[in-house]
Amino acid sequence: MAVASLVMLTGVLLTVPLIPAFKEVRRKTDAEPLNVIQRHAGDIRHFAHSFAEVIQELKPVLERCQRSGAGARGVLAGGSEYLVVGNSKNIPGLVKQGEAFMCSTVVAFVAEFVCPGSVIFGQEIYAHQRFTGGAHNQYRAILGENDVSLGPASTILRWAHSEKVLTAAARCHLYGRISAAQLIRVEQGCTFLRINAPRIELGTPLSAKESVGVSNNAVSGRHPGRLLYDGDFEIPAGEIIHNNIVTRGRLVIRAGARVEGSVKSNKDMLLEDRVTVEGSVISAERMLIGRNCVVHGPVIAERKMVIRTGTHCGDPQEATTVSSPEIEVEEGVLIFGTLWARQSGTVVGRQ
Amino acid sequence: MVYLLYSIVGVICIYTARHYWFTLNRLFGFQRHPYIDIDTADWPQVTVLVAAHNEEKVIANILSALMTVNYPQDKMLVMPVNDRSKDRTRQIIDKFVKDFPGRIRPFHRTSGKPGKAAALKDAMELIATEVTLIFDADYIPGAGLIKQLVAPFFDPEVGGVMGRVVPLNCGTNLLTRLLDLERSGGYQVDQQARMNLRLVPQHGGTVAGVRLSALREIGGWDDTTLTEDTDLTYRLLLHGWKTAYQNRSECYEEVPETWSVRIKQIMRWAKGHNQAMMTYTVRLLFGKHLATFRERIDGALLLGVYIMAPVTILGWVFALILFYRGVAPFNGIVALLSITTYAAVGNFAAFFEIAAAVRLDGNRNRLAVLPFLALGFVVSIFSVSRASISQVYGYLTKAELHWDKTERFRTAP
Repeated sequence: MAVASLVMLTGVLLTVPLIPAFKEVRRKTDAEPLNVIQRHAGDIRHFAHSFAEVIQELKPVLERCQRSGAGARGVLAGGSEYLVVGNSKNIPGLVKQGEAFMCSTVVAFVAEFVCPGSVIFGQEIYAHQRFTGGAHNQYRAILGENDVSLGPASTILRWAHSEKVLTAAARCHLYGRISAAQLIRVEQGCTFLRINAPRIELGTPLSAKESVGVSNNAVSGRHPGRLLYDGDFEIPAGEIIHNNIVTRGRLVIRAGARVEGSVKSNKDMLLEDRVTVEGSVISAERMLIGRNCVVHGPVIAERKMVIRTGTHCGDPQEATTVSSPEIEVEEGVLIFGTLWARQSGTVVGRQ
Repeated sequence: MVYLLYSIVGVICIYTARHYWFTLNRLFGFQRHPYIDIDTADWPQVTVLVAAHNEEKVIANILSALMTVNYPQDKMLVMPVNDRSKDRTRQIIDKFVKDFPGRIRPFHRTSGKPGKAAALKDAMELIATEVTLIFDADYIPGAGLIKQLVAPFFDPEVGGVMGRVVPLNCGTNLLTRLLDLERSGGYQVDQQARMNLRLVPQHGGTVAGVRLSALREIGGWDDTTLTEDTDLTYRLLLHGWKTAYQNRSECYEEVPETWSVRIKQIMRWAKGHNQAMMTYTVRLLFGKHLATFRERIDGALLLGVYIMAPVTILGWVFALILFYRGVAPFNGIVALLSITTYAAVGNFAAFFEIAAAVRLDGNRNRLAVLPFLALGFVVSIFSVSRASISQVYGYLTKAELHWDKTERFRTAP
């Protein structure tokens, strides 16, 4: 009897922890495959496109307001309130909130609009014509069919997209995805995370020493051989290297050198002034790119990246990606394609 | 015998510590995804190989998916490698060739050595692009996957790339759910931790890529091996090329739905892996080559994962014999073995790794199925041991290794 009880008790003790397992196998409450396809929708314009579809719903109202110059109010299919601003110079219904004014509806501007400062837009903005923001404004998201200019010390919380030129004045904070179909200009003191445009100007416009006509040799084209160094390596000033370079230690490329391939260092990398790399530049640690360098392929630093003034990454024909968790870019840097700082990106003055 | 047992326990403890290290790294360490942000670039020409042997049930799905990816059309060529199929695979491929002119160049292989490695070897003769991606026919790539798998090749140190495999049919039955958990642990934690720690991420031979110049440098595909992916990983490593693992480059696959198919699959993997172990362990550990110290150690441990199954069983046998002979106070050792064997085998995926992986994936309820992994563990340990023993027997009798294709379960369109 005692043995039977012991066996039973043991059986129960072994079975009890399995009860949730049996329940889950039978009920299948969490048996769907991991959703991986949507995660790949990493298109920087994804949210802008989604909002553009929402705005399509308002098209008749917007056209009517455009013709009449009057405003309108209503509710979108998703339940959000919207406000259409016609030819008015003001945004009706702003609510004072401390030092700022609050607008909590989706706003569509059908005419060119110069926005006053210190306004917090709690919902998305649609600007059919040129939109100029005041200082210290805060935007959730902006979709501009034309130029979009952000005033000094403005903040974008989610995303902003312009079908033409997007400009961020000094000390703006650009969180989320910032994109433009033509040009993005970001002034000194701004912070950013992810920016994409055919041409990205950091700081004041450059004196156009733009790199053209050199083919990108990152992977495509001819395939230069690989030189692998099991330690630190230095390319002397003015040297021309026809290979890909991989170092297990630090890599220093002295001033004026040219690499007709890609470079990779497993520790810190330093590109001195006027270095040209036709392929990609990749560091597993920190990277410093000196003044007036030209890099055609992707530029990746796994820890931190500093880019000095006058440097160009990518070119108008072949855009590229510049990426690092932490990026510090001096005024006067020009990037064609994507600039992506996972944790923090800052535009600083020339040093 | 006592010392042999101690040695076995020692080795198992090393694997256990390794699994703990990996899991803690994934939960709290610095995560390396260096290439995932490359979304804009001058994308290179790429050839996508689709290995297909009697794949009428699945080949249309992958070809359809590849025709809709967001890689520049003029820079991507799909090459289905139809390896001596006897079903409708050829007809299905030819229909796609007709429907998508200029985008698919089929390679209908009608003779030659059987096996994926041999088929890939022949196909590579026809390829001139620097980057080649490889998929098995049962995989379904998402729209952004090709760019994600190509991006690491901008790094001139990368010779191979591996993406993450995600079971599509995980809800079918208990086996598929267990395999889903195993895959989760194996990729989300194990592979990514090895990427983080600069160890040896393994090339999986599918949802994967290889650089042509690296492949040529190491002598091309080895068609004498059962697992060309493991073989490739180590040959790249010995020649100073890295394999990059892209955890966010996920792709659906079909996992076995019956135990017999699963046993066959894991036995083939075990044989191939053990083959690589015999070939590369000594060279990797003591040879003069470009692998770093930590890559040598981790690479050797990775090579030993399948042989740990028979070694563990041997440990149990020794423990029992010694126990009944009354030798030494080793009750503790038996307990230690019981616990740590769970971590040492099971297709890399120890259960704590799996628990962490499921958490990282944001799933919750499927974790309840975890205790059933003991069942998968028992099946695996004996299947892998059987494979190892038959391999030794085959080696002694000089029998040639035989390649078994994994059966598909999808319904043909």
